[in-house]
Amino acid sequence: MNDSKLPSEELDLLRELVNVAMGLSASELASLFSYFVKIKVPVINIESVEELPETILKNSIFPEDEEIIAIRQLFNNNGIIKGEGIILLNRKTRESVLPLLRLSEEDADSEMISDFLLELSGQLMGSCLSNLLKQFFPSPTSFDPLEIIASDEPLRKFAYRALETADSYYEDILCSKIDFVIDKVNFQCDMFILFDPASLPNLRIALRKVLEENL
Amino acid sequence: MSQIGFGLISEIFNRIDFGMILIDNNDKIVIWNDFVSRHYQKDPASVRGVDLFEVFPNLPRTWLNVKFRGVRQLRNISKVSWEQRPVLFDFPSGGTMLQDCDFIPVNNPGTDEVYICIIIKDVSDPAKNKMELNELIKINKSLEEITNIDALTEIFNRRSILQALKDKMNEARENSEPLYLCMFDLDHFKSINDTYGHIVGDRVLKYVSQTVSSSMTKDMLFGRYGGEEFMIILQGGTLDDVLSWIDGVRSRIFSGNVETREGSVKISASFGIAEFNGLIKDDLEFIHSADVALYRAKKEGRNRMILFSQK
Repeated sequence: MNDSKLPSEELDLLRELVNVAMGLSASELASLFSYFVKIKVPVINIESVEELPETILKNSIFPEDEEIIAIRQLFNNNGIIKGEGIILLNRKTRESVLPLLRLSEEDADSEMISDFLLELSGQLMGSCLSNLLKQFFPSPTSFDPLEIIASDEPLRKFAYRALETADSYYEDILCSKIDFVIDKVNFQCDMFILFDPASLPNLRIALRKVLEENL
Repeated sequence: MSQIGFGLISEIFNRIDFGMILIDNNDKIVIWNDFVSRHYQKDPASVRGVDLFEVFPNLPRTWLNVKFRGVRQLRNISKVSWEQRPVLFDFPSGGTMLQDCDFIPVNNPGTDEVYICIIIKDVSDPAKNKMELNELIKINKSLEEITNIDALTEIFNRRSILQALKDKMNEARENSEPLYLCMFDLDHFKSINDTYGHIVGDRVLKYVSQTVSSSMTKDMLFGRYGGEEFMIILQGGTLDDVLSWIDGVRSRIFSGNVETREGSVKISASFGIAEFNGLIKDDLEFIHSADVALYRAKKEGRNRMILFSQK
């Protein structure tokens, strides 16, 4: 692990800021969906890239042979903090998408369901990441279009495939994991945030600034 | 410098080479720029206050309603690429315009209303280039699949070496025979490509595969895993024999050069080795173990081999 590793004081603060962001997002999303949204306390780990598959397998709410859908979105806050969010959903999630988005069966054929899954994932990721990053930087975060990177693939296979793509540009990874649960409609999903290693020094500067301001 | 006036802003608004449509909190059109006027063949005054979905009846209304609700409430920019929806705004101006669209929340000053500024970018040319490129990649891949051989290095391609790995793992399981997997990767290959160009890069890949192939025995299989990464499957033998053979290969690669007009290119590679045992569930895990060892070899200074261990 090189100097991009966060000391425990900064890691604790980041955990705290992620918690604050999730609190904001929970209420924002509850008002958007009209359902109570539980966001479970996130796990933040600094992992070296070769541990990524096992980190995903160990932390996911889905068992490793469960067929999942993975949706990815790149985010960028003025080139200072960059990374990607990955949302993992399962087949059951598809059934809860329509009530969450206040739609009926007639609104959506099977093709549209993918669009709605993307939309919903974008809303979850957008809310959480914006609320996290705005605690460091006032400027808005920009998000790339969402893409489905796995469809009905066993989690285990996906996790190892994710390593193949991540390996080319990540050395050390700061990974945060968040669970969303909406009991009323049986909705649950995982979200992994991977920060670009080039952003880690900037993230550390931002964290130290927040620490100093709070001294 | 004089103050920036409305005229100047309006000039920019109309000169930019992408479409902008501003809608109010009830999806009524407030204004659009010249780009949209040109493609829609109507000026903005004629549609002011008209519902967006009335002006563009082919828009996917349900989906956009969901999107607009998210944009307004979460106040985040939402983007749609041509890959998700090639043509969102169906302009009558002729030809198919592939589009990337952004939906930007804009506060109407002094109110709680959130307007949405829709940006429409014509990406037809880059999108068509990408589609053609994907088509070429597909053709190349299918050609490769027919032969099972990597066209450049003339060793097994990824698909066939991975299949071979699965087969050999099954055999090793049934016969309780030793099996080893070695993954290796050329050091600083990107900088060789950047410094000497891709033709020299290709020659380096050929040199390495020939060096390995010429040292192999009948119990070994060798393939290109991807880019500058290779895979050797070794059956039978003791771990010591395997490690000593791999170290010999490493040193032979390191002792040779590829000559170019700009001087000779020094080559080295890092090796990760994993030994098959009953605890390894599948080929993905076996590859991962060798890959972890390879990653460590890179971290520890390259041009070396590391045997995977759980620690």
